[in-house]
Amino acid sequence: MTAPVLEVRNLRTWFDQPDGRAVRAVDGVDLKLHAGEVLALVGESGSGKSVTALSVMGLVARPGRIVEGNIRLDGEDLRRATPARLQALRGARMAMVFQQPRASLNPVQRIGDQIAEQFIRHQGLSRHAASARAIELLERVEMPDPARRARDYPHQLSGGQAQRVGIAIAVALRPALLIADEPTTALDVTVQAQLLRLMLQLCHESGTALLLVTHDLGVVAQVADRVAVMYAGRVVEQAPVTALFDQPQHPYTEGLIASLAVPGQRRERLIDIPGSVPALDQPFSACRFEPRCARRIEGSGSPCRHQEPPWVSGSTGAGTACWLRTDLSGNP
Amino acid sequence: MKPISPWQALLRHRSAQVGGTLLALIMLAALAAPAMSAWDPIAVDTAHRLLPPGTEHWLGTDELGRDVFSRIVHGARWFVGIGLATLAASAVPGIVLGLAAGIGPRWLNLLISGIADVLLSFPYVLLMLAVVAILGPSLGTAIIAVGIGGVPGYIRLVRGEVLALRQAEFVEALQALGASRWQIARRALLPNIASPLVVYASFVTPLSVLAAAALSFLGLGVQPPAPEWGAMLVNARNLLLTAWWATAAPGFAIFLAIFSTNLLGNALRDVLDPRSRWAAT
Repeated sequence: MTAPVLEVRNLRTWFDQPDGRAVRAVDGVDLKLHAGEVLALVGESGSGKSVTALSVMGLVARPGRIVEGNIRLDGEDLRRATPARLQALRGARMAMVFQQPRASLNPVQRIGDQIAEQFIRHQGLSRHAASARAIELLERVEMPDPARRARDYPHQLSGGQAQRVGIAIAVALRPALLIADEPTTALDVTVQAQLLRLMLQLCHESGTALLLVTHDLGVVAQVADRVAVMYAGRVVEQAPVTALFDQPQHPYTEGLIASLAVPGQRRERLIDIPGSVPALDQPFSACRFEPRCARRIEGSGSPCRHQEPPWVSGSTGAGTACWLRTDLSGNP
Repeated sequence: MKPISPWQALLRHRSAQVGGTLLALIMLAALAAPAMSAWDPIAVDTAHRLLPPGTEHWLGTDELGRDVFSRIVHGARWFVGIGLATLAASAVPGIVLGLAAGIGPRWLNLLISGIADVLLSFPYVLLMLAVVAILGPSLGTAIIAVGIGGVPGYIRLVRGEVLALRQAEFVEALQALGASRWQIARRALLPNIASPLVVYASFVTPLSVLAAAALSFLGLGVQPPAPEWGAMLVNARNLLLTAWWATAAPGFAIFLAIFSTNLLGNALRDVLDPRSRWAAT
């Protein structure tokens, strides 16, 4: 097996609070992503998905800081990289697509110029040559009438068109890694599928690995090769996409899948997971999902209440962190 | 309904029409001053002192027999020149320092805001007088003094706008694309604060010209015999009752110039400032 494009090991990103405590937004995350692969990072709001993505990009701003862990891009240790090196990698070897397409474009610069900027910044192209490349890119992201559209400002575009521009900017230099943070959440359902397909196609063409951050399991089922489910700052289950939907190993994953509304099937009531995400400002001395878990082991000797579950590896990269999957003696 | 450009909106705005026309006339006077009056603005003619307005001298003559109309028209040059010079003297350092405070490290932000606060805590006139006292009275000194007085206002405006913009998603996106701080400042921050800056400048610049005129009035700015409006006022102030035209003309010229700039500023604020646009609809 070839070396992974992205390897994240035991990443901890905490946010210092004025009272001296720290919110442990990301608390021990491991991820691996190979060239051309699509990994979906799933979880509810506040589970640490976006902070994981920003940590990889080196864009965690104070009061947040990476406390521990390893991030390697093409084998290069990003935590040891200088700010200048990180700046050179961002946009060229690793790029990002954002949730709010129009808000993530500069409102006072023509979109063609915003795309061209990438070629000028990272490849030193002349403005003229870069503008020509920008129009080619707009054509590749299926923007109608690209030469004319290049002269538009962001407010003249629809949300879907703006996200096409966002994708064009991100894939301009054929990065090794593309991180898409809820790229279609703000868009119409009809446009969502088009843009997902487009993004997959572009990644496929240039062998780009895609880390898709989302809370939408419908999107995951359509596009992902593998899925990592995050809960309260930790990956609780990781599996190939079919295995995850067919045989979820973690009760939280089960809950997420059960809460999916299935079209055409009328339910007595909508299923949800009771409770909410726990406070993250102190270390856990029990399973972090235990208070909401429908299948927790009851009784005073229950490991669920006394220790964090270890990671239990299954077949080929799959695994979960749940006491139900151990032999219950505490030994994985 | 098709949205109209700010430029079109400005052309339709009543106070922009009035203010713009008046300001255009002042500009015209500044450019074509020698052609607009047959009289030399500084030529002394003691035989024709303090003549009232008439067909020969449209606005009369002053205590040295100089044609008042010619001096007013030539004074437009001083008004425009002083306006542009004080604008540059306060806006350029103010914008640079405000940007540095907004995007630089925390200590720089604190240092620059601290300096701005200290400058703001001095009464404006006292600050100007202190600068003139140090550098000696001259036109250049007056511009520097007025300029320094205007710097902290620009610092505050730019720093505040930049701090707010830094949270914007497209600034984060630019970082994610590998843009440097300087590129972000030039491509994203400055163009996006241009509107509030233009509005602010249109309100503050006439005040600066007025302050420069006040310095001239105190004898600390433009020196005689230059036909600057503030200086003309002071020269003729003892003759207010006997030769009213010698003070009324420069006084009215100052009023008209400030008034038209303010009208234009009002219109610019309506057109460019999103908050007042919401308030209007």
